[in-house]
Amino acid sequence: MTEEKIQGQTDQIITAGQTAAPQPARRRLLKSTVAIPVIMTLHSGAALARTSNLAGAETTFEMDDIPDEVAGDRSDVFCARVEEQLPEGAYDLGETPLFTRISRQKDGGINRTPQEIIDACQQQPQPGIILSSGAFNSIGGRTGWTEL
Amino acid sequence: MYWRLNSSLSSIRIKNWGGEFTVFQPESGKTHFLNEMGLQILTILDRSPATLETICKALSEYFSLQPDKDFPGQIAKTLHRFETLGLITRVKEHA
Amino acid sequence: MKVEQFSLDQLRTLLAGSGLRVKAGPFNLSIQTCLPSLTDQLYRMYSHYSLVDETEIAEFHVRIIPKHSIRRPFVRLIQFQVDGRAPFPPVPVEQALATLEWGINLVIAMRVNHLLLFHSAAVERNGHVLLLPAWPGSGKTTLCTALIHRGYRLFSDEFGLMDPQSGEFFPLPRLMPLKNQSIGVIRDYLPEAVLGPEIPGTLKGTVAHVRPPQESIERADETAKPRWIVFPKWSAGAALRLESLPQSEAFLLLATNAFNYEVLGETAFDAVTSLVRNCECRKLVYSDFDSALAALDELTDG
Repeated sequence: MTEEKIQGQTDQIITAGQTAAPQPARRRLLKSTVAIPVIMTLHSGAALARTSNLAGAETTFEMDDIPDEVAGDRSDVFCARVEEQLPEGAYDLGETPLFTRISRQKDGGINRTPQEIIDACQQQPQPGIILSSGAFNSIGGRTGWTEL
Repeated sequence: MYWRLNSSLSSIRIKNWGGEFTVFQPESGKTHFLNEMGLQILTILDRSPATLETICKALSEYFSLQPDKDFPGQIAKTLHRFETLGLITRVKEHA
Repeated sequence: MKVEQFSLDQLRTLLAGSGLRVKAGPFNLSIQTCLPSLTDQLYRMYSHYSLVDETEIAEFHVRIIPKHSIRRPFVRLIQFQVDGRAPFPPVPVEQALATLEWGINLVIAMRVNHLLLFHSAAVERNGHVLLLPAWPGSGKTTLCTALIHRGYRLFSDEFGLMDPQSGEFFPLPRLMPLKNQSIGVIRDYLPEAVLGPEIPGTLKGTVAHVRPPQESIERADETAKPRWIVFPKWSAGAALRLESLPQSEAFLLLATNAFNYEVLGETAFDAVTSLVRNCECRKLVYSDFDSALAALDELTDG
């Protein structure tokens, strides 16, 4: 890497073997008392994840109240791990939501009943709440998940 | 054991914010935030692959440090982090 | 033509039929509903919005539809739908307006990727945009409401919409949801503000929407470049502080605050870099509107 390229990329010159930066800049690191390397990786979309997460989802369904997304829709549903329940009844799925897809069909091509879907979610290692595929799609793109 | 940069620093976007750096890594699409020492590690490896010992020595000289016994461990942690991010790789021998 | 130029019956027919197609900043919305109460509310709260020509495409087609519960047949529920899909579960009919507004926000946040979207309030003064990014305790919507009734033009209380190439911000003046105690605070501080009904029992508590000033809606085509980024924080009893914020920190906060930063990749990296480098970055701690407004007036007068 040439000196010119480095200079072009960083506004401060850092050249091989020596620094052209003035001594005060070199000492800045020490003044900040951060005598160790620091690296942080940015995770954006957390804002949206939180906004989406507070949109809420139902945890229990009475058989007759099951929304179309579970009972009538052909789409699979998703079991989302809940980090905490908020005072207003919303569910925070946390900074890195975890989802388990629950297939609409069992082995043999038989459709799961709504109660079986609920049971499948509750039997996960970390039980959670059920999201329709629509809600999942709203959240999934911002949490590293893609629509399956 | 040597560490080497996976691709030239010139392939990474770097912006200087008065001694702190934002780095865009096109291969992964990720953005990182480095302090000067973090970036200097990459700069050292951009010149040539280096061992942990060499890196620590170069950093100490560059920043006029008197490193304590924890310093190599901290640098090693950072190297592993860079490796996880796909920026550097361990190699047994330096060609 | 504006919504206020229709009669209520005409609006009802539109909403129940082909849809009310209104301009919302750079987007066109189509809204459908048969709900009389929501129709009444929209007639008032959307009165200044312009209708979109039939030949123009509407980016988002949203509906509020009734839902029925067999188990609870006397509970009236509604559900938000966008392009036939329902991202939220059904809610009581009284929450229709709140659900509609949140649903539209969610759709914009999820689907718009030709612009960089910051989770931020944005207002304009003296020809430039003041960005007020959201973070816990910011009170951005409440502060934004105060600002737009004191000489600032509303761009949005929720989204900073930036063209990543030009750096221009686009207005998206929409109803602003005040929550809980903020409702009373704004009623006291701004008796002239037009508020919609108080809607209790939502996931965010009681919500009431502020109608944007007419001028903000009428000037929704006028973009502007940013000049100030202020991270606000309301703190009860705190003395006013308006301090410089290191640009590196502003970059980090803004990038993590952008809904679609990672989607836009290197474009977003460059855009946020340019944005921060071209703006004065501050953090504001405040406990009362008068001093906060005075400080922001001084900043934006400079």
